[in-house]
Amino acid sequence: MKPRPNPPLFLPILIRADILREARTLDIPTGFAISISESVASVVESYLKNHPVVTELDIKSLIISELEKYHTDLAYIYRNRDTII
Amino acid sequence: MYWASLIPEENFLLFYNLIFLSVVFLASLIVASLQLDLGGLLLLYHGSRGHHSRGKTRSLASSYICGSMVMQFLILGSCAVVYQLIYSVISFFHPVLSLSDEFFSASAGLLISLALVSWLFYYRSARSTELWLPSSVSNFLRRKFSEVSTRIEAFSLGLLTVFFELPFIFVPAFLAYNSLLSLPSNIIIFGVTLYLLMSILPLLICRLYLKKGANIANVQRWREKNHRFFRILTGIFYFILAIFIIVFIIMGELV
Repeated sequence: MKPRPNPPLFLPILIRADILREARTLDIPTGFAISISESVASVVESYLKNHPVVTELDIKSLIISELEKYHTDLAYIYRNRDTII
Repeated sequence: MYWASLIPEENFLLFYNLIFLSVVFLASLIVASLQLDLGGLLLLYHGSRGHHSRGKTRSLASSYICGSMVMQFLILGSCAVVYQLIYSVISFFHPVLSLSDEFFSASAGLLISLALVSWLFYYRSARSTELWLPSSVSNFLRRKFSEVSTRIEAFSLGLLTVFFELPFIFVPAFLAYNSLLSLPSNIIIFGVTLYLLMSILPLLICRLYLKKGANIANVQRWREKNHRFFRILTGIFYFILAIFIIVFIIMGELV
């Protein structure tokens, strides 16, 4: 039987780096992008503390809903980056 | 029906050349309306702007567009090989002077099928711009676009994205080739240039728009908002070309 792959790690630092990279594609100023990424990462961290079992989709939805508050283009690209082609 | 006999003799050559140039133009419109290369350009910007400077992103985009154009030219050239191969095989069993009539008739039928296929299957979902490609291929392309760092890689990705659209591009390209064969040699170069420029025109417009300061979110929103329109438009272009060929070339007995 094939061994189940390890679930991906959701470290705040990885989420921050991901959001910063997406923000850079949209030419968002660096300071603003850093503050957005830190706010979103802290919200995801507190969500994970209160919910022991989560799916990748839950985390993605949470990140998108938080990004919507700060920058709609960033949230849009984060949501649709896998459906461009 | 031979309506071409209604045209005055002095204008017949002009009309004849215009008909075949129109086929080339319509074929290039079909290729331009397809979305994979435009989506690839957006992915290139998305992947590159996160890692590289603006200047490097622009040079990668230029290399990608060059790759697309080169592949379109190679497909057009490969139609010559396919034509000769089929002609050789058929001539072996039954000598013929030319197969243009049969090729145009078969192509018209294929165009109508492609119109239906593009309406039904070109986009995966009614709500997004995800295309018909298998998920392994689209994941492969997404990964490659996110990792692109040199101009030669961007050029290769331009070649690859056009190659993956071959099922939808081959018949219009074959018709364009057949039509170019019927033109005088001094107009063939103009026809080839028209075909290549029209087929990469959406990429050039998108590149110019992004260079002026728009971001990829705006372009992607526009694509998502209008993707139903593009799906219908592509099908309509296929139909128009099929009807054009049937009426003007086959029924007009121009070949």
